[in-house]
Amino acid sequence: MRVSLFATCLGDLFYPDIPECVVRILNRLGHRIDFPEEQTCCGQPALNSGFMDDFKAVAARMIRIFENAEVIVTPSGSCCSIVREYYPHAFRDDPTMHAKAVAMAGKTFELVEFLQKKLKVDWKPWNLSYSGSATYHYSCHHRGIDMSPQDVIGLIKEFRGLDFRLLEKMEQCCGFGGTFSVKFGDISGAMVRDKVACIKATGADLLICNDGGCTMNIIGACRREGFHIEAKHIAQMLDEAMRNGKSR
Amino acid sequence: MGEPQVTKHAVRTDFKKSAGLALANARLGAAMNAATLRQDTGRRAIMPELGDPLVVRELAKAIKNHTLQNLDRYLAQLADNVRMNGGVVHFAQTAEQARAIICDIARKAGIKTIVKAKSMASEEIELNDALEAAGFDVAETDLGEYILQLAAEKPSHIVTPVLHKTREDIGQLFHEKLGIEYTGDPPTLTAAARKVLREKFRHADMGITGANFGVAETGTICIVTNEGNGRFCSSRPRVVVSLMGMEKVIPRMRDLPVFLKLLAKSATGQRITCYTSLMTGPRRPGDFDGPEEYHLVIMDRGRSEILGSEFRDALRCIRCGACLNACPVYRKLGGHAYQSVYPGPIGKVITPLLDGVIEYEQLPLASSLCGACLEACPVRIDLPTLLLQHRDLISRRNRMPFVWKWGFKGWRIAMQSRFIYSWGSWFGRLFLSVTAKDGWVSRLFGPGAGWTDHRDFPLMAAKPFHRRWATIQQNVNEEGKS
Amino acid sequence: MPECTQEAFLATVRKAASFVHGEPVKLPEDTETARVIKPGNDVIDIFMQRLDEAKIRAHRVASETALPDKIVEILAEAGAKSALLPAEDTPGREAIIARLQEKGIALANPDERDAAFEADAGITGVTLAVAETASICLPSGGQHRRLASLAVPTHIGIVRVEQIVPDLLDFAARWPARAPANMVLVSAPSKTADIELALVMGVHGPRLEYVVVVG
Repeated sequence: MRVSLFATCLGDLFYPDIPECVVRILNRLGHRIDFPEEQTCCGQPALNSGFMDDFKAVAARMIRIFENAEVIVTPSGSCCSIVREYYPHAFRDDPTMHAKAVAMAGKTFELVEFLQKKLKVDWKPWNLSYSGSATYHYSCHHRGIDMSPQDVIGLIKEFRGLDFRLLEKMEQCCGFGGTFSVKFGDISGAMVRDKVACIKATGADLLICNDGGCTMNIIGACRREGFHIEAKHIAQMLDEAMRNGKSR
Repeated sequence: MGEPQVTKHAVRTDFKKSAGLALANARLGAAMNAATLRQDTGRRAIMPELGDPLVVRELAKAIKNHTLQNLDRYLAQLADNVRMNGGVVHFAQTAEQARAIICDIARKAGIKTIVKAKSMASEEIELNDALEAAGFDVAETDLGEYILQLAAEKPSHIVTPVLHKTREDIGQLFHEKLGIEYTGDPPTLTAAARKVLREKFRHADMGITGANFGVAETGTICIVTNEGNGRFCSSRPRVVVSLMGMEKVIPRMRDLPVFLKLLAKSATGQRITCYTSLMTGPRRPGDFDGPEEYHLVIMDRGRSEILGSEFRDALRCIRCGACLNACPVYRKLGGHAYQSVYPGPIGKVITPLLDGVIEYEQLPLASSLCGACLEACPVRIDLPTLLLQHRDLISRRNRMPFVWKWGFKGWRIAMQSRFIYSWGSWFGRLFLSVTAKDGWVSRLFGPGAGWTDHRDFPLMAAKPFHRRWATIQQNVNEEGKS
Repeated sequence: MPECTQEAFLATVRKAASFVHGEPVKLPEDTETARVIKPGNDVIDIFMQRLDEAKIRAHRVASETALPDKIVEILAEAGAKSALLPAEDTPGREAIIARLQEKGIALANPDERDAAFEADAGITGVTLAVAETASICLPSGGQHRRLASLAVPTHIGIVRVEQIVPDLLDFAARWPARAPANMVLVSAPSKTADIELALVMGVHGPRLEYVVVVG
């Protein structure tokens, strides 16, 4: 399959390692990757802040950029849900753009969703392993793409040797919410401190977190408290494990 | 205890201020966390009893959507059938009218004492104040509402209204107001309330209830309770009044079970409430008990505006409180911070519409749009999308702060130009790296302070993905070959 | 203007309802997708099980003849010295009354307005029972007394097995053409969790709820 990578602005600018891992993972699984280089941002910040015109302008551009994609994969559940839910919604009064938005929505997938539900990868031959304890924070926008916590935990449990610690209030929002985190900093701060407390309570050495926004929010708060924990996107874990597993 | 928004007639303050007060109250935070988590967990545990809960929720949604599309027809049918069974039907377009109607009913019937079952609609119109001003003795009979009445406070949750109070608070309150010896023991406190209210039930001449559902086909008003106060209020007094928000009507008796199966499960994780009372008019000739007069007051109060707008879906709400229990913001703040009758996610959507889009402007903004509310809602109201609709309207009214409006214009330019996006990020990194330590910034200015007041902000990567692509592409091709 | 006319009120509603918001939705004909309990052999067992789960003290007797002893047993357990038995069609009513008189249990007068406030227990029949929700349905009117199952600290509902329906959907299907002024589904003893979510039983309604299934 030819897979077009949608790196997301946060992934591209703050966590470039993650889209890199996505490329390697999909390549190992036998797919060709392209990266439409004009891409920037799905537009979510403008949508969430109530600036529909700005959102639509940026969305229209993204729709155009990915128009010839066969399938689009992104490592962010929140960006994926914006494309799937709100691109069509934004252009509901414009039949031409609406059709294009629906087309893009129909071929855009979040990484874990793509691996587990679309490709239905059989992980056994890859010998995935990880030695250490890990906990998982469920990023809210997976709700928008019908990915339950169990969908992701199912993949985490494919890693032999991983000591999985269930996070209390796993599904509770970490408080990022894009501009919410600065506009309502106090509420957001209280929410992220709650999340950090739950993470601490697991005693895990690793936080698996599959959204750039959540990660910067949670780890930023961990740092503020002087609490050290490693954070990885499942893409990073898969990349490393696939490399190690293959060389066995 | 110095929290103005809690007391009944407090002047409203800025939302951020009231939120700040709530966040500073560690005890409140702990109480809200425990209570909302417990009720949310209860809901999740029991909903699978419905087989495929999503199917049942979609069925409930369809029934409500159809009803709302034909609301006038079903209200007419409800009114006809209530009258056919001997009831009197009144129509109140405004809060003022609703209050006047009910006071009038009480006056004409020579009422002295009123007992009231829980009704959020009556909270909306501040009915108790009007009744008391008109000289009637009003007793709230739901334990939580009774406690609030004694304390002259507002509810902080639509189903379990006194979560903000500890047993010690209530013990102290009862000691002061009822003259009983201080105790923090819930059964003892409940028994004290029971004693007082039992006397009220015995002698009250008017009962006021809300309406969870109004069945058009049969002229039946359904109320659900756990305590039994609803039954007393609707059975013992000689005059009974039910106040119903007009969106509560449902078409047929066979639709009622669909909602009953969802309501208690969604609210508290119970299979069904202890009592489901179905009132169809006043006592029949020859009946030993039951009201001589039964009145249904159907209230609009802003609902027709919502009905005729893109916010219509919010009228599907059955007031279960599931969204409150699921909401991470509500879990932190509790209900009083919202300073409205309806807090939580549903409150953020309908309060501006019912009580003022300017006065309550902050509410639709104060959400991370996590979607927990939609996931919890038994009638699948897409609250996140409705919140986005509010935000769109706020910016169209040109009431978004200057810095955001112009900030996003700049953002839009940057996001539409790979060149500006790329170099903008490069400059941003350069600028921030001046104060950064180990790749993190601990102080941002302007709006950014909202972030760094509570956590560090990461530097952008030295080499973003789009600058690495050429190399990656090469490497990947090589790895693919090997 | 003290009140709004029905015409004016509904005209406003009609106008608002005509705003186009999504496709027209037909009223779902079938609510069976909401069914939880299907008709079948285990409906009575499900009822008994769910009564238990709802903290209703459930008993079963093979026939009406066993009722008087059973009622005496229950009243003793509940510490009830007086009972109110409205003159409705409660299974075994006559025999129960006779036994209670023998045992010196005071019998309240159902035609006294405050009888239920004074009696230790109320004993009634039901119109039907719902297995899904462990509910018994109590009507008003005729010889029924609304407060006999409400103002008393202990209520005993006597249910014939034939009266048990599987699901709330079945309850709705059996709604009478001429409904009484009041019907109540009693599905648990009275309770509240308003104070710190601490469960307290017997707030305004009965603290003890018993169901005796006959047959």
